[in-house]
Amino acid sequence: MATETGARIDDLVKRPYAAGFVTDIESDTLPPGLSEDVVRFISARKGEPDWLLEWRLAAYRHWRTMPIPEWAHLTFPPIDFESISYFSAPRSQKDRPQSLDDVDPELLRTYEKLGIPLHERAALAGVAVDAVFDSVSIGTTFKDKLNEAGVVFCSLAEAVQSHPELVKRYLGTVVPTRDNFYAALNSAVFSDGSFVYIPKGVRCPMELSTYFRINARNTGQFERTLIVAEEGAYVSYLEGCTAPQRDEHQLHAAVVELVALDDAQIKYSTVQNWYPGDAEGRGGIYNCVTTRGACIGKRSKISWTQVETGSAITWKYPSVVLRGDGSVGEFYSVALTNNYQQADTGTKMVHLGRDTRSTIVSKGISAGRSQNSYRGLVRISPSAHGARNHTQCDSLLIGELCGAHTFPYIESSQPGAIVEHEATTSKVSDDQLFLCRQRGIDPEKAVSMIVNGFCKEVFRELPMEFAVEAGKLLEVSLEGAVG
Amino acid sequence: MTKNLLEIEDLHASVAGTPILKGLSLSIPAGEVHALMGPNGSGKSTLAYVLAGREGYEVTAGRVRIGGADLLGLAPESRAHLGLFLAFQYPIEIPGVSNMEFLKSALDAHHRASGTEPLSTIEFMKRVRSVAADLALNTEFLKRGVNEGFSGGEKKRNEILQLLMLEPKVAVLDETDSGLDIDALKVVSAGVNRFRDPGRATLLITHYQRLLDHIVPDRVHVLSDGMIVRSGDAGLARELESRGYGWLTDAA
Amino acid sequence: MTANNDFLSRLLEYASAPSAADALRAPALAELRRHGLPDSKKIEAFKYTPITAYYRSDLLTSDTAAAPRIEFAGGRTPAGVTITQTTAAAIPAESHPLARINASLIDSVTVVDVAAGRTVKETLHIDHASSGCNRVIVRMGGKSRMQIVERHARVDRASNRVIQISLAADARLYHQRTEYEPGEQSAWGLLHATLGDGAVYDLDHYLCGSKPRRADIVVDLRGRAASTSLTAGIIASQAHAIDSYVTINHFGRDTRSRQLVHGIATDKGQLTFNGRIEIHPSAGGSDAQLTNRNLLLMPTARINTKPELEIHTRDVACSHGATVGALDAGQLFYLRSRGIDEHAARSLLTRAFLSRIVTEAAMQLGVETAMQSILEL
Repeated sequence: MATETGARIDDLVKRPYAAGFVTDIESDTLPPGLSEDVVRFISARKGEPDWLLEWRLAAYRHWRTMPIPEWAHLTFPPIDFESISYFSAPRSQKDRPQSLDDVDPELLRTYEKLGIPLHERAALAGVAVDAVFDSVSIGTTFKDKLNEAGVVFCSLAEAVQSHPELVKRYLGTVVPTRDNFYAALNSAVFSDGSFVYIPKGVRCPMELSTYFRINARNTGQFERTLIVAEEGAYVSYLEGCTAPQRDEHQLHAAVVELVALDDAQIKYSTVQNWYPGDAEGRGGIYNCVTTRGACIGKRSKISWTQVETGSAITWKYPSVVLRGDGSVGEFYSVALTNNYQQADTGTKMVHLGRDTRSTIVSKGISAGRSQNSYRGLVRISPSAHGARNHTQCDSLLIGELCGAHTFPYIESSQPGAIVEHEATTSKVSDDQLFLCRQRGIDPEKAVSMIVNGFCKEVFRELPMEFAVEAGKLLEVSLEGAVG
Repeated sequence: MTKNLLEIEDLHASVAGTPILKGLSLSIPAGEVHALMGPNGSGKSTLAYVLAGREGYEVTAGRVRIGGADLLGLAPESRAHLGLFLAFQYPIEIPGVSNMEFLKSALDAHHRASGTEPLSTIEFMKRVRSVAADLALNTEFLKRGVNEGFSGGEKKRNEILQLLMLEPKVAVLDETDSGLDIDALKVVSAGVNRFRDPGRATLLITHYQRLLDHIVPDRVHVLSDGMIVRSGDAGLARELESRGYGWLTDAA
Repeated sequence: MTANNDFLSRLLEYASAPSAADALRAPALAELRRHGLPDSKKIEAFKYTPITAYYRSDLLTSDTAAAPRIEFAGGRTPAGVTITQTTAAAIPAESHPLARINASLIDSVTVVDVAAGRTVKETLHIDHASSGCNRVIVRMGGKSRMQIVERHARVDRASNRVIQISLAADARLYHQRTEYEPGEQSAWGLLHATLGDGAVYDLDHYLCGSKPRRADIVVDLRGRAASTSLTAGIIASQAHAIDSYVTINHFGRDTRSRQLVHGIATDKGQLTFNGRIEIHPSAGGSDAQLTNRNLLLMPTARINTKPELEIHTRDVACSHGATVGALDAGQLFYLRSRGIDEHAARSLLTRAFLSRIVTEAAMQLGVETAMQSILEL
């Protein structure tokens, strides 16, 4: 019985990546290699002010002195940073399309293949879409409605021109340029990304969304996102990724910074499906991302929800610095790894303010020969009287040869705080599968059922339209993972 | 004129900034048992915690006296030493501290506070065994951690055991009848009736008439939205049983 | 030249001087020459107290009788047991850098052998009363049984102690280890136990901080259905640091481990607990649990805890839980409402917290009282 099921699992594991294809758009790409000149080129190309160039250069110089972090439970060949091209833009960048009708039809077809018909989707779901193709934003919708509410939602490059004071004030305040190796690199060469500003007391009238794509060969993707919610503001932001199938490894080193002032709330949801590599572990994206929010204001709240199914390597720790008294940080995560994928993901909750609260729910699913690690830090500073944390980390093992690991760090020096951490490990057992089959349910459906139940707590946190997508993604990933 | 053992005057209290008690006045003379009834959320349990001095229950106005001495502003243990006893609605579990050790510590603390001679271990054991036997609690029960893994009924009986051991002047019983089957209710009621004494006062906080079938109160008060809206004799409780609270709370 | 390189060169010089223990020391010395000693910043396992704290030059002196006193209660070694002090033993290698220091500095090894099938009624006492490096090897034959009470007394210089225990098939060992006394210098110890098929190893470990102290415990469940339980109480008080690093390696099928660890930090104490469970691919059917509760009594104290799971096979049941907090406010209020003053109530609750990790065997040997007096309860 066991072997028979095993064989079936193997069959299903062999299915190819469902969202894989390559778009053929010629890119305006810089030759590989990184130097001060490259940084200057990027900055000049974007017409950036001097302060931003200096900021990039300082980051670059520091990056040169930093070692590559090796502490994560990840094994991958060293990245040759000199073989990466640090700038690429779609050809049509110089004369930007004024509306979606003007967008390169090839790009629109790309979205269609992925089942994301941009304008239809936007119209149906009431979602404003700032689509990023390679490194430059090319289309933004629903601007009028957002303008009316006073919400700024544009590319970061655009914001540098239109709202320089806001960008200057907040850029790098949550993730400093020297924070870590990948964040320093991003600060030096970041291409573009989104900028969101919600003014005081405004509830953003729609969910904001960006779809990321990686297309040009051998180009790093260095997105940078900055979201600022003023006093009493609310915004829900959705980030989704899919990528075309390809052979070479690609580095993705994005930075996301969130700032919440008094009583502000930011909800940031991600469904990540970068190309994970093939069944033998060839190719796939290296996703080394620094995502962090700062609850600066009293009673502010930042909530991260992520569904991570892609990438060959995931190095990602969406975190919250709880500075404001009574502020709240949340992290809800599903990380699924299959074949030779490796994920080292989790969160940091740094409690500084009084009566700050954080909740961590992490669900790791390991299949194939993959390695899936939760790494988390809960730090209670002496100033965080009355702080509370609750962490629940669950692992589900599907394959015989996979790994599921839990590395939680708890540091407390405040007796008036309570930290609770729990972790469990379970498996999809042959017995469960046998029972389901005996009752007429095929194993694939059974595993899908079990996994969905396992992830329910996290999916519940996703915005409705995203939850559907997440469920679909997980199912696709599971098709290739289990039987 | 009988002496009031418990006197609550115009008591206002808030929880997390929300006012719950809004001018509650209530006095219980020595020797009497009063019942405090009222719908959910009227402030019954808040009153119990305010009297016992639980953290997070902030008194914003009013005064409370026990046997003439001011209660508010004192530490919880000092209130206990003055003669206040609260039977908890949800008795707390303390794993690792045996019931016996707990009772002895509490009793010794009372003796120290009153400057009286503490019981010898032998006297203590004799007494606790006899009281426990009356409440149908066996000796094994005394060795277990305080309320650790006790059934709902055992927890409530344990509260009554403490009541009878500590012999306070004023007992506040917060829904001691909830979660009890009829046999346990009889045992607990017998305990409370045994506590009844011309030198003591009792406040029974309850939802239901059924406890009052076993412990007949001298007075019944109805609490609604943080104030006493009606007081009467035992007949009031029976009236509430048949008519509900609506006719009182709507008027208030 | 960095401090650790300096220490290393002095160590190599000291240990290279001709000695009766040359044969014992040679393999470890060769390893040290090849690998050197690590720098603290690079080692995750020394995140909170750097490894350099244990590179103590006063380990490089020969004027202490480092070997512990090992004898049975009553002074007579029972039949079936041999205790030998030797320079000829082949000691199992340890990859821990501090164990390499140990192996290159010891003058001899004490080997305790228990014959197969022997049930030893008397308790074996191991008393460490001197500073410096020592090493003890305990080998339990198949189906043998014994109990060990190991005490680490106060010493005023650095100490580095390794005990290696092996249990052949179906052997059972109860081991109680106490390390209360703060010394004036760093104290490091490694306990490495290896279990064969069906062997059972129960360890009760009670330890307090020092300047600083670190205890590494490694249990390898090699045999099928081998089983271990660890019960530990850890206290960091005054300005002491205590680092307890436990690794349970499940290699055999159907192996089982249980850990219950209670920690208390007060004053300016720093308590670090790292409880690692690793389920290797060969360990299907394994069952591992860790419960770690910590009590932080003062804002000047600090607790770091890291319960880790590393799982490499599907067919397992693993869980861990860790909490850090103060005394429970509801319990405190309950006690105070019964007339017990705040200080007494805190003391009562702290004692209760400790009592939950004092096993019956440890209670008989006065562990509870000793720990209470350290906390002045």
